[in-house]
Amino acid sequence: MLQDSKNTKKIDFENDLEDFLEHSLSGYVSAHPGGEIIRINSKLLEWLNYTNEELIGKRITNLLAIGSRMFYETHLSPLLKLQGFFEEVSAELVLKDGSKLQVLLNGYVRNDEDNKPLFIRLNIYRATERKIYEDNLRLAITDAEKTLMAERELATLREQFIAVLGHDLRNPLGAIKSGTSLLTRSVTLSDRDKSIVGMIKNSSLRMEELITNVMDFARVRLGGGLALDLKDRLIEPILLHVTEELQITFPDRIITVDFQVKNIINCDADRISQLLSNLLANALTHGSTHEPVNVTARIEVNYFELAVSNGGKPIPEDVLETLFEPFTREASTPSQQGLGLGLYIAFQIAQAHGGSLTATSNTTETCFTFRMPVRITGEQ
Amino acid sequence: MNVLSRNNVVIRGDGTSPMMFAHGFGCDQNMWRFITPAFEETHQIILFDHVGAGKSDLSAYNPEKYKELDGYAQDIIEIANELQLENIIFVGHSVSAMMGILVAEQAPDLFKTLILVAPSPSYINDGDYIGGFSKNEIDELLASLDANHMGWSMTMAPLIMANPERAELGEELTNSFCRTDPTIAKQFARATFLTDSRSILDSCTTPALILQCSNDIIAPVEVGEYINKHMVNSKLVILDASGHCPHLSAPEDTISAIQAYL
Repeated sequence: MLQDSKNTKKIDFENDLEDFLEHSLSGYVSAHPGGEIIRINSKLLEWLNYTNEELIGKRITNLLAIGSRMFYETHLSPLLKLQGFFEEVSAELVLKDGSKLQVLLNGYVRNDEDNKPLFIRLNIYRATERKIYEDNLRLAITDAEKTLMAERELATLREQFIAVLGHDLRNPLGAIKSGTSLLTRSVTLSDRDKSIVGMIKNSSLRMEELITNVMDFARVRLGGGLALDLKDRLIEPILLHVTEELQITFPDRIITVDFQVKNIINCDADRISQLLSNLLANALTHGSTHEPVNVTARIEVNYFELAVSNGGKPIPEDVLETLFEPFTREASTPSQQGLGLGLYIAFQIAQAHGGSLTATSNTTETCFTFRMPVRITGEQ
Repeated sequence: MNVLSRNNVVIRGDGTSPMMFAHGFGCDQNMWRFITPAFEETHQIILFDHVGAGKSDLSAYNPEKYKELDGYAQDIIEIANELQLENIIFVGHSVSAMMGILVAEQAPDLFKTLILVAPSPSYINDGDYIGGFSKNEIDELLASLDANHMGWSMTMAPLIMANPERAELGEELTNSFCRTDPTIAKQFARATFLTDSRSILDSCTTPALILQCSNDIIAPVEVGEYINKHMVNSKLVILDASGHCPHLSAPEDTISAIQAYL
């Protein structure tokens, strides 16, 4: 184009900020403090697909999709009034055809020398890729939450299953036990009958133990571990009771007892009973039938120790290593010890008490030792 | 739980007549800073943040309690009781104006006067009632809250990461005003924009000043007129102001209107 050389002002594109703003890759809007649009750059018009005339005098909020509009009125507009700016706010523009464009907004208030607001200015950056990234993140969160919910439902189901198992199996078993107790007292029983009743009774006791073990295993492995009901208890009578019970079940065996515990211990008495019962039953089942089983209990300065030992064939080294894992049974012996959960649960009880359960075995004796830390709270 | 720290209650002013200010959705007690100085000489000013906003105790948030406006109304009653206040001039913005009417209904002796700033009993158009929004628009708003969660939380996310080992996350926060926990804001938005409080207007006899902005897309003038028609003891003043926050955009006019009414 030919130009009158006198009137020509050569446009200096390099230094023309006006041109830079107009043809920038970002959108710019100026508005009155009340929000009416004064100026809007080409890039933003291009995005929105409106003409300049269509937007001058409209409000900034007219450019925003409803979520962003509400956010602007309730949050961004107050921020402009209170601190004069906001930065990096994600928003949605609504375009002429009704579709949305994801953007980032920065806004500030331009004041005059008397600190009165002159304009609101917004810088707008396209953020469609960022939106996709955020959407993906959100989807990942939703998926993770769904999985978590499903797992939780499963856990609840498991808890219910355990509870039902315990309740429903124990009740009929209780009836069998009461029945055998009544039969034992009957005077009309033949010796053969008595022996059969005795077998039923022992079997039902054994079954009760198995149910308890299975339920405990389920709690530990599938649930959140063994829950303890800790109370200050005089421990010795509890231990004596367990040994007496097992003596009745194994009338032909000798159980020696050496208890030196007159103290009150903070523990779950039922669980400690279970631990001793499991250890003792284990010793009576696997130990030499000709030698006694010895149970000792004592208090040291800061720990309580309970030990059960028996004579007989030593436990092989490799078995000793996995002794406290579930379903460990001695392959050589006929399966009279059930599922092999007794020692596993005893170990869990020891751990739940903050203590330890260890095993040593040689040709002289096999010994299981339980130790738990104690704070001596009282003496009889 | 300490009610005063839960709601970050701030008391100032030299007067004895209590004046309680409740902020609306999206902001915190800072939004009253242009208004309260005008009343400090004559009134005892009580400011607070709703749970989830400003410096409130986020751990006090209970989704069950705050799923409806009544949960927030209970907090207002608890603050008033804790401070042994009565005859309060209650100034509530937007959704908090509705909480004020809820409180007036439940504890009639607590409030002497209600100042309702840009109130709306229901945002959704319904027959002859003009709430300002169609049901579709409100649905879109709530959907955008869910989908655009990060956008709403941009300036606020570090707050919920209240994580002592990562204090720098909190320090990066540029905005010291109007902080809102995004998760709580989402539920607060539901309570705000889906509640229809129109039925409680007629029974409220507490004297009330309704301040509506002449150009407010959230609570249009028609809404102010509706409230004025349904409250027995109310006065409507239309302020020549844009936006939803006349106490920020036209503080002088807002102060004059309140003073004239009191």
